[in-house]
Amino acid sequence: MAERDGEGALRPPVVLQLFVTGQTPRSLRALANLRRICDARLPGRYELRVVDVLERPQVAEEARVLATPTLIRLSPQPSRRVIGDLSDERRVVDGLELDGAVGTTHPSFP
Amino acid sequence: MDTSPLTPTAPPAPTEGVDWRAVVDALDAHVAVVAGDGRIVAVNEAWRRFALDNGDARAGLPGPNYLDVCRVSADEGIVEAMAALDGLWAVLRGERPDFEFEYPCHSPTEQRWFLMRVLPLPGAPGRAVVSHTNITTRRRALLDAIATREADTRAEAARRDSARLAQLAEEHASEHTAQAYGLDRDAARRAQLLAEMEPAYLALLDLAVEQRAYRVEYATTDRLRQLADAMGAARARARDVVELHRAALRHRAAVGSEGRAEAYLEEGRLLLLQLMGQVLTYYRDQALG
Amino acid sequence: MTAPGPTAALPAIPKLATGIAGFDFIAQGGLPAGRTTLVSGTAGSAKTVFAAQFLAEGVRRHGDSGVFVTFEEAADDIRRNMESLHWPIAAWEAAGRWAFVDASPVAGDDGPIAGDFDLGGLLARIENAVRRTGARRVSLDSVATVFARFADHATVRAELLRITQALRTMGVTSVITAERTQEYGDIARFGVEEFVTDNVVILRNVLEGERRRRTIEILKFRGAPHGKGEYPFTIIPGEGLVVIPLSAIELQQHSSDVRITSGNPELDRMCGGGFFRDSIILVSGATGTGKTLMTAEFLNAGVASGERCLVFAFEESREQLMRNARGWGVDFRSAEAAGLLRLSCEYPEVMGLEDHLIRLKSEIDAFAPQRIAVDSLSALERISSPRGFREFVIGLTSFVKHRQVAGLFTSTTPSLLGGDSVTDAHISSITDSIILLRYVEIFGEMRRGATVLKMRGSMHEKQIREFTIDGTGMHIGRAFSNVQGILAGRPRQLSASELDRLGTLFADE
Repeated sequence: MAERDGEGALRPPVVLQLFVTGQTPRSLRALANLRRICDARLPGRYELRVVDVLERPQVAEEARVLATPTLIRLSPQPSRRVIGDLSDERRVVDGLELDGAVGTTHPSFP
Repeated sequence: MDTSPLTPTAPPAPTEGVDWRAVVDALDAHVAVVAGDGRIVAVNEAWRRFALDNGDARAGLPGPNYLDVCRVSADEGIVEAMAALDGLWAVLRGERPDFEFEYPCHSPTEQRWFLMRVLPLPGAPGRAVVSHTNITTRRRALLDAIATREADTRAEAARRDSARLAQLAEEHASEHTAQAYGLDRDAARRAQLLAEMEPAYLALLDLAVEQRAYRVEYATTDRLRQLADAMGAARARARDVVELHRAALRHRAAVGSEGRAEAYLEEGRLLLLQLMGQVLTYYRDQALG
Repeated sequence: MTAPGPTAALPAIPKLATGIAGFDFIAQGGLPAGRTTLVSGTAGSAKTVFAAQFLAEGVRRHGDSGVFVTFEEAADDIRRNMESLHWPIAAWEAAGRWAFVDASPVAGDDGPIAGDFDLGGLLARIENAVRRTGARRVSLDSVATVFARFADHATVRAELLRITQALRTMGVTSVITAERTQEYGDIARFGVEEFVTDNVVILRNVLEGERRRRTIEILKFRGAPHGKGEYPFTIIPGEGLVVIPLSAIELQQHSSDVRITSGNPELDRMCGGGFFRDSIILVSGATGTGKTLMTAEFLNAGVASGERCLVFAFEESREQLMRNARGWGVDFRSAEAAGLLRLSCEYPEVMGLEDHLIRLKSEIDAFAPQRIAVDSLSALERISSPRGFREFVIGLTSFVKHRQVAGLFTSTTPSLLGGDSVTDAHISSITDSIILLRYVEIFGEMRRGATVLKMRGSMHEKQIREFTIDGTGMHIGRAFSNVQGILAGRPRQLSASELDRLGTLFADE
């Protein structure tokens, strides 16, 4: 999964953890938006873990998640979070610093 | 009649003013003194009366040989008599310091248990004191306690089974949250369908238990499959199958003996496994199809 | 009274006893069971203590597990803060009787909002904690912080409503705390009361002059009765909230200006004309200073006016009481024979305080006296815990006050003058008159001194008067002059320049 950046160093994949509450329309929306954003900006360079708080509330407890959907960038550190169904792509990208993680010179999608 | 105290370990008691014979006669234990050759040389009032009550007119008169009595009974195959004989003999010959033995001796009207004790008679080597005490009450209490404990253990096992099944059945840790977000819409419909299936499952359970008791074979597999298909069509979850099983068990475990309840538990487990397997097959066929 | 038809009363919602002293009394049972109650108060009004105590008393007294959802303070801070109240929260957590859902803000937990959201994570965590502990009680403290963290208040309100509904399906009784900015204004900030409308409790911490006055008011319980108005409460270290079940209004008003005699004309004069008809009088003094005599004269005066008098004695037997009274010229025997006096004597040790209280109340109900006396409260204090004694005093004095009977209570406690315990605070607010009797040493001789320390609603003499006791009772004489330290029983003569300081001794009256 790792790629080489402009200087030839290995770039580890971006690890994302998405907390959702069951399969509500909001959860499905967030998942769809997330895949779309990641496929566009981090093709082949992201790892997605979905946690359903209904199934694993203890994981939500440890991650101190209140709102769902909550998207946490676990790697690279330091971790960052955004909240919501991820329909505001700008906020997702800025909030998780996906541009920075990517380190790309590609123009940002609106 | 030797009036020494019965127990060799007690210090010599003052006999002044005490009629030991009256004391011995007042005991409710049946007491006799037996000589080295087995002859009964003396008996107390309780022994005398017991023998009379049991039809032995000669009871209480010196003469009858206790060992002979035991030997006769032993010859008749009464195991207890043989043990009593051995024990008595051993004490008379000084091979044992004492002998104690519990045995049944039922009357036509009731069950009775006795404790036989043989002790050497101090001051009279070669002689022994034999006593028989009715311990029916004590023994019955012990049997009751054992029965209760066994019943409790069974009940506890049933409870644990039920709890474990309930745990297995839990799909969602968060049913209230799911409900709060409208994620459990099927619940009411499912509950109704399962209520309709309960009689069919109960019938299968009854058949399974009957098979166990009566060595008959019923073609339950087909009926199970039909039930499984109906459940699959209603989109039953594993939990629903288990709940159906538990509900049925509750009906049957409430009536009947413990043995019956246990049979239902055991047969039920097998039936549950079979049903679960059939439902699984239904879903698998659906997925593959 | 129930009758069929549209006017038939619906069955009231059952109550869950909170275990918070005095609250269950004014709430007529406790909080509505299985429902959510909003507890709203200004900063420092003890909302968090109330919310935590609701759970703590559940664990301690009722075997109910509890879940504390903390939005403002971190779980660690709450564990530490509640140590002073002697609640071993960490031990309860280890035993599975208490669980925290720590929803307090931690740096990095929040991020930009990038779309629609809900609070499903919070609800799932709450349900998980409830399941793990089998909790019957849940507290959420305080929702104001949630509004601060998530700018979309409409969503927060909708989600908090969803949470209260889910708590109801879980079958738990819950308390939600909210902030308010004014003591007598809106119920809560952020319109919280719009979604927790059914049951509302208000905590106040009002500044009156230079003193803080804490009160609790049950604004409403839907479908269930409750006491109305504000009730004073205090916080006892080692105990928590203690509510005093007498409304503030009742405390300030007299129902009558009618005076009754104390049995001693001089004392009446010192009190500005006698005691009030429905007052509670506390007589405090060391053993032998004359409390029982004062009690006897009080009862005698009642009998002489044809009033029924009931005395509860815990230190002396009937015979002793009668004999002592006779020694002072008071005839209890005839009074008893005439049906005007009832002597109820009991050793404190024969039963628990709760049973004593039940017995006292039923005897008062049965005999319907106009005057009662308890000699002494201290005998009962010796046989119980501070908490039990406190509850007893509050229970008894409230009971007496409501019946508008004159009640005289004796005590040996020296510090009943505005000390820190609620009994002191309560007694000082509920008593109408306080009389101190003390030994005084003057020029090497032991003398007796009496002073009226408090006389609500009336002018009273502030001097310390010497009194003697003989075969005809108590005789109050001249005032001691220039003597300080009488209250502690260690007087010394003042020099003229210290005279001014004497005036300050009773300045608060």
